[in-house]
Amino acid sequence: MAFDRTTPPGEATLEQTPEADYSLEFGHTYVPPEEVTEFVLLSPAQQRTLAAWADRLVPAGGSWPSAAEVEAHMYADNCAARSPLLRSMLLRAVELAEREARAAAGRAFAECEEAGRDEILLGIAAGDGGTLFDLVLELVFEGYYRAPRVLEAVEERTGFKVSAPVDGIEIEPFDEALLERIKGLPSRYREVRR
Amino acid sequence: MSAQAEPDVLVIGAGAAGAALSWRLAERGADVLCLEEGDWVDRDSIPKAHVDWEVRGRHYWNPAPSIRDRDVDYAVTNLGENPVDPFMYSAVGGSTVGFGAQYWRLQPSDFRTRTLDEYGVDWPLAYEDLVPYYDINEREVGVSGLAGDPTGPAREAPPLPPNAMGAVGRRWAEGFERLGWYWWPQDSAIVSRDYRGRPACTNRSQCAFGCPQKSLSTADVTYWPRALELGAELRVRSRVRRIVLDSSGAAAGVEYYDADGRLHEQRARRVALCAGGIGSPRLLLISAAGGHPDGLANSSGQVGRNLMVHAQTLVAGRFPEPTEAYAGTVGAMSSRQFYETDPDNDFVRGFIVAGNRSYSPLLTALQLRKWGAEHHEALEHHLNHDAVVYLCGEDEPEEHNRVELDYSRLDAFGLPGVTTTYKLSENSRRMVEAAIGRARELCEAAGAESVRDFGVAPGFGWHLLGTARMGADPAGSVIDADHRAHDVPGLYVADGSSLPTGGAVNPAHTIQALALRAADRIWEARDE
Repeated sequence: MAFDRTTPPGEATLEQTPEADYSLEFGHTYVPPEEVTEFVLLSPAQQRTLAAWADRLVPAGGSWPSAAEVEAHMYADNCAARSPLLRSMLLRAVELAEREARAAAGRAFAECEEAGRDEILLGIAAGDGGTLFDLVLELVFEGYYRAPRVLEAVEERTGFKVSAPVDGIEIEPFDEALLERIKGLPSRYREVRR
Repeated sequence: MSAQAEPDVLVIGAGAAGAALSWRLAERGADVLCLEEGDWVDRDSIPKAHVDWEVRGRHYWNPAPSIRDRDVDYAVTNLGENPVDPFMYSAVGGSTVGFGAQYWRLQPSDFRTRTLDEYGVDWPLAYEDLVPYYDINEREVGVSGLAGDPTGPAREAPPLPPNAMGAVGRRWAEGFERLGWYWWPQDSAIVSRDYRGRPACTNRSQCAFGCPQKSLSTADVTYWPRALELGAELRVRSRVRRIVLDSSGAAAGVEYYDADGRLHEQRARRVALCAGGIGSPRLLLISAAGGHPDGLANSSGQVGRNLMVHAQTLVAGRFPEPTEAYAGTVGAMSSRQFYETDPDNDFVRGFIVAGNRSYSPLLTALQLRKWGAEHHEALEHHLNHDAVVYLCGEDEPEEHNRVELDYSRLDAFGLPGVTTTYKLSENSRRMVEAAIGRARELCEAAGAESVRDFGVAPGFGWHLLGTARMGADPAGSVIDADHRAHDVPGLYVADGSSLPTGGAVNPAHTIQALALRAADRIWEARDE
């Protein structure tokens, strides 16, 4: 394997490039919801940066909580902690956001105005940090769309019955009367002599 | 290395084909041993047993072996102008454990494309040769559907009535009717009523995330329990290292590693390779030996060549009313209106237009990739309002589309991974463009407000075919019409790799029908 899975959390090798295909790590990074109870990778300052980032990806609105409100960023931290590459990439992403914020506004990313944060994130997404941005977006979306509060909002706002894939649901049976026209049509396939 | 008792037939791979073949042989009275590199699916690990099924499906249940990266997987790297992303599970049941279960028979013309359309190659057998095995498979698997479709030959009625259609099915039916196209309810290997101890489908949707209640007719819950009852032996976590030959050059068994890494030699009177469109050529190439320097059974040079994945894409319509995106089997209604060659087209052969269901919350969010203020608005616009048309067209067998060994990525036992290399043919490109146009027509006729498509080459590797193809000519094929390797007595190959051409439909039904037929041929030749 290209990556050493025995490296403990927090000892990521930063020379690993962000261009690596991070999805190849996903097979080993599933975290059950009940295990996401605290941050394991990011420092408190880094947590604030990632929370501010996550809330720009998925802000609160109406029935929808923000990503950080449902701790989607903690999920991202826990998930990334299970892979040296993902650890490295998440740390790089947070560092990049901080660096860009200091350069643009002279303050921490989390302290920037929303519009300023969006501008920084757009720059990261369009530039060399595009892969880092993609990783953060995917992990935050994953954490978001399994949170109970979000699933309630999904059902309320879209009518998507979130319990149906797990519990089943009745829907309209097939109505053979719909085939009345088709049954009167001539056959339509190519006869082939053996 | 330990040596063990000699069965009549040693089967490699316990997926769709290996399961059907093992059952049929056991039923006929053969002593069968199957070696499977994966394990039984832990039912509690099936994503849809859990509320966070979407996240689980992207991680440990991911259909890409290079992403799952378990010790039972091997790496698959996808190359070429239009790389495909193979959908493969190493498990009892193989890739059926997360399949869509759309069960089609091929058409008579599919077996004669060279003669009829100067396209691809002819099969060394005919549609009629497979009909008895399609019938058996539909009964054994528990297919739900309806006889009488005028776009196919007369056939036995499937054992179960069609699955529920729901709001989306009715919508597609209305669209087909407005266009005046032929259409029919989708045959599915999903039991619509209680069947042989398995409960009727409860419309949990999203079948690729597994079916905890066993209504999805995966090979681990259909053929395997009965094969084991009949005395077949199945050894899981058994990674075949190579197929071995005896002094006469006939297949004599295999060497394999067990779960603890111990090497065993297993002799057998016959060897049936059922490792799939990627796994079978891999093992033939790995088994290169003195008389077979380019891979076993590869004097033709066709092992690993002619990879076909179908010319596939998706088109999504957005409808004003809810689409019950949370409910129903993958397939609802489908049409073979455009299946056969039409001289007015700028391509030969054809495609199906299948009205399927829709997408889930996380998948929709990831597809739309909207963030910030637009995020919720975009999700609310599409989720539970989209419905998807699946398009599947006939892909041409071309030698440059291939599977090769990759010694730069070794598996847990030091065996090579593989690379796939694929380029969509010009005929396929034109076909998919036309198919997208037809799907847009269908969406609009069904009431869609807007339509988006996934392009002509989205890289779906759901169907992996043709890489050890059958044929009458040993110079251009790997196996004969009875699935025997041209070059190696006692060696059979029966799975997706056997198909000379793929038709324009989901292939699981044909793969299993071929495997059942191969079992009969193996049994009938047992005294040779």
